[in-house]
This record gives sequence, C-alpha cells and structure tokens, in this order.
Amino acid sequence: MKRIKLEEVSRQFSLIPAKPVMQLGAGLFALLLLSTANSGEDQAKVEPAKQAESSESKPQSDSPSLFKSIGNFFSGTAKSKDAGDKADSSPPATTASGGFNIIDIDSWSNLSNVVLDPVCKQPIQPFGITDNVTSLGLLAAKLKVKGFVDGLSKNGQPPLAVKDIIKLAARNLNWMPMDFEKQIGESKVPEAEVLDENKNKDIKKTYAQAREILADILKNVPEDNPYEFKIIVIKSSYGNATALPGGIILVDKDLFKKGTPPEYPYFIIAHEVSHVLQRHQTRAYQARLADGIDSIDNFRKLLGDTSHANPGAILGYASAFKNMVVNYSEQQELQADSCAIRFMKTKYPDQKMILEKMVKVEQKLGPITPAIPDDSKDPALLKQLQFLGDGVLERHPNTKQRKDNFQVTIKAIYI
Amino acid sequence: MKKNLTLTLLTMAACMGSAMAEDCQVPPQKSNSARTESLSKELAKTNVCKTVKGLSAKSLKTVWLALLDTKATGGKRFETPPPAGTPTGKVFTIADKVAFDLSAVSQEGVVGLTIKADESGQIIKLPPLVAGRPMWIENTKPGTSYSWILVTKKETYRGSFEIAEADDLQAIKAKLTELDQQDMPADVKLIYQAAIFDEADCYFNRDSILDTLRNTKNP
Repeated sequence: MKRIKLEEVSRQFSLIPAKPVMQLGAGLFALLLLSTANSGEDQAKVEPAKQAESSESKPQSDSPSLFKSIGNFFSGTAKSKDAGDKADSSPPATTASGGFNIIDIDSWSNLSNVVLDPVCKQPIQPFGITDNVTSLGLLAAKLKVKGFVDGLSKNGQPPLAVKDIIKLAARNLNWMPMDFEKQIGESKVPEAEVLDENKNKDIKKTYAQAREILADILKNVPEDNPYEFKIIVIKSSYGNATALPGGIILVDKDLFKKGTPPEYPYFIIAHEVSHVLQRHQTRAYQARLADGIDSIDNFRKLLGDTSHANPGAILGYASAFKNMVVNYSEQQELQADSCAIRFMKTKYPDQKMILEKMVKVEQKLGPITPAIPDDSKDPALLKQLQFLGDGVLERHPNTKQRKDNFQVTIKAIYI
Repeated sequence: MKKNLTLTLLTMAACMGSAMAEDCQVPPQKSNSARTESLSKELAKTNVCKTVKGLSAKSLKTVWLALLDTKATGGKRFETPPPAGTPTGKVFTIADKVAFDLSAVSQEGVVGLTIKADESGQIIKLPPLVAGRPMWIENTKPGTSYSWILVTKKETYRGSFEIAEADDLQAIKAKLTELDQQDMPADVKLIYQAAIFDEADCYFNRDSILDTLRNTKNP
C-alpha cells in the first residue's frame, strides 16, 4: 500500500506547508504568552457563566484583522482570511508537516458540542499530546491577543482569565488518549454480526472491494498516524457502513450490491474514515462530559431553586440538551460528508467530474421528502421531554441538508 | 509401554468427546438475569447434532450472543438504520407473505410507506395501516427484490429486501419442519429457529425472533 508523508497530504488537501521549526516556535511563543499572562489573571477575569450565556453554542469568529493576521502568521502564512467563512477557497489554517499534526483553531466555542470546521479544512485532528499542547498554545495566544486588542478598542468583551482560556481551549480539542479511543473501538465490535471472510465467495469479494477502497483513501493519510484501519463485513443489509473509534470500519454485506454505482461505497467508506480521523465518537463523549457536567449541575440547581422551577426554564434546558447531543451528531455527519468529498477530490480532481460522481451518490441517498408540518397539539415542553426520553442520541441530516452541504463543500474546494 | 498406550488412547477419547460436545452443544452461560440464565441452561441440555441436521453449535452460540447484544448505539453510521420490524436483506417467507411491523416507529407518527418491486418498478398496493398490527405484503415471489421508503414525522427510513430463492426457501423449510418435530421448550425452539435463519443469511427473520425473545424474556 502506497502511503505518503504529511507534507504530501498538505499539498493534496491544498494545505500550506509550514516548517516544523516555525510550528514549534509558534507553540513556544504561545505558551510563553500564556505563562506571562497568568500573573495578571485577576484583572482579566470575566464571569464565565455570563460569557457562556451570551455566546450560547455559536462559534466565535468575528476577529479583528490584526488578530487574523497573527493567527495566520502562526500557521505559516501572512495571508488574511475570514476565520468563519464556510465557503472559503483560501488554503486552510491547518499545518501538517514533518511529523507534526497541529491545528490552528480559527474559530471556537464555549461548548464542546460545536463542529468548528464544517467544510473539513482540517481532515485530520491532532491525536498526540504534543500536537494538542501546541495547538492549545496557539489558541491561547490568539485569545490573549484578541482580549488585548478588544481591550484597546474598548469594543469587545473583557479579556478572558487564563483558567477560562484553558477551559475553552480544552473544549475545542480532543484530549481523549488514543489508547482509550482504540479500546472503545474494539469493545464496540458486534461479535455476533461479524461475517467470516471465508464464509462464501460473495463475502470474500465484499471484503476485497472494501479493502481496495480503504487502501485508496488511506493513500491520502500520513503513515505516521496512530490508527489501525481495518474492514469488518457485518450481517446488516442496510447498504451502510459504521466507523468505530480507532479505525475499525464496519461494512454492511450489501454495500456493493449489484447496480450500486462505485462512487457510492467509495463515498461511504471515505465518510467513515473521516469520522475516525475527526475523532468524532470520542469527541462526542468528551462533549457530553465537558458540557453535560456543567449543564446537569445547573439543571439541578434550577430545580432546587423553587422560585425558578418553571416549565419555561425546564424547556430551555431540554432544548439545550437536545442541541448538545442530537444536533451535534448531525453536524458531525455533515462534516464527515465534507471530508469525504475532499478525499474524492484526490481521485477526481476535475470539478465537472466530481459533480457527476456526486449526483450518483445523491441519487442513492433517497428522495427529498416534503417537510412534515408539526400539527401536534402537545405542549412544547412535553414534546421536548418525550424526544429526550426516546433515548435517541444521534440523528442524521436529511437528504436536502446533505445535498446542500455537498454544494457548499464542492464550492469551497474547487472554486 | 502397554500402560502408556492405554493412557494415550484414553486421553484421545476424552479430547474427542470434548470436541464433539463443543461441536454439538452450547455450554451454559452465566448471566445477571435469572431468566436468561435459566434459558441458557435449557439450551445447554440440547444436542444440536441430534436436533437439526447440518445445524452447528457455532450458529447457536452466535445467535445467543446476538440475543444478549443490547443494540446500544456504537460508532458513527452513514445513515440511520431502518427500524426493527422492517425487512432488509434476504427474507424467508411463509405463504409468500412478508410482514412490515411498524410498531417501533409508531411514536414517531407514520406518514407513509411505499414499496416498489425492483424489476417491474411496480408500486405495491398496501392495506390500510392498523395500529398495533403488522402490515402484510402478499403474493411475493422467490428471488424477487423490493425497495421501500418509510416516512415518519421524525425521520425518513429506506431499505430493500429480496425473497430467498426457491431452493433456499425449501432447505430452510425442511430444517424448520425437522425442528418442529423435536420435544423441547418453546423458547429454546425459538433460538434454534433463529440459528437456522442465521445460517441461511436470513437475518431479518433471525432478528424478528430475537426481538420476540427479548420482549418476552427480557434477557
């Protein structure tokens, strides 16, 4: 299997290669800023609860131009760009070179459950502690500079305290140890559903076809990654696939069913590989831990305070929980679609060609069904609680959302 | 020398006996649920080799594992899987009929179900949906395949299934008939049925039985 180094990946994904020395220097500079800022912690304090309320879960990306320049300087380019632009054609801020996999977080949220890179400018999330620390350093430095600039202009929020910056940064990176991630993946393999490769010719062929596609996709992934990608064909006949943390891809036995266009299984496996590389499953666990603990604690306090225990307040929390878990799951699916298109780009570099291929994928997604009017007379609160009571912790975007996202991503990559 | 030979023969016989037991029986499994443990003990009393010709203990063990699987969400799927009770993959039919049990999505508010025969493109005419009862698709033919779309107020599901070929249907029927003649507890018989379907790749039928067992036995 031909594999390439990180620098080649940078080129294939239109990333700007940066010198490792610059990366390290930026990281150290960032950490230095962080440590010097620590002494002034008291005067920089803000109320974290108010901050969380005001920003909700929306990514913050309205950075001043100086801030943008500094952020891009860290990532190895002085080119200014809009940090929150979903459909940008400029090179992403990701820097990946010479064994480092550091990301330059150019938008962030006070919650973990927000996908900050919807069109997948950064196909591979940091997985090593060094990468995470350096990425954290970059983010912390940017936040300190932003606070400083805001303070000077008197327009923005008061600067964050260092402890809040660290908390915020921790919510925007995946800190789950990779070994833990692999263990989760192995434990989730449904033993009773696994099909033995030698069961019959059809199953053998399905394994071979899925592995061929996986190998092709992995040519775009640097070989010095900690994942152990492998295909397992399972008994399900949903024309579907599933990614488990650590690199296990479960493929339904009928994914390559007669009449299925070859682009479809390719896209699906690329989508699943993207879930792994984005560390979506563990990130979701982390989000539930990081955001859930605060939310549950506040919810408990709210219920304890009889003066505030009203249905409206409870509804607010129910909505927040729903947003936290269900909508986050949808965002991750759309991001994995975008990453899959980036993988397909390396196979079909011509825009016209990829548009043709994606039409075939879209046709397999099923029809766009009309929006169903919500004619229920149930009180909103009851509906929300019923929804939570379903135990549905993940939901997929509908065909229209997926198609719209394809268009946005293709525009971002090719135009 | 003679003593050694006897010892070797005895050891070999013991090993062969153990291997035969492994091939023909499922050892009892411990469980937190008393009902499940009791079912496991009943299952362990049976001998697969003498019950249904060609059925292996491995299939029984697999089905047992599937029964205990909580179906908890694990991993990130490309699409939401079809709800329990909706046919997918290779399907065994009784009297050329296939059941669509929509009870798993009844809370979501079923808006509509469309089934299409893949070869002819013909839309199958469906009987009106009666709450709490499965919807039967009649006059299916061996080897034909169908696609369906189920729309609820919450989600759009889709899937496809194909009726097993006539030879397969016949082979499965023969095994089920053989099983039917055996004297064993009803729940154990259901596990055997599920194993027959598992071996024949009729996983929809297998899962329907396991769902029944789960609902009644709460393993």
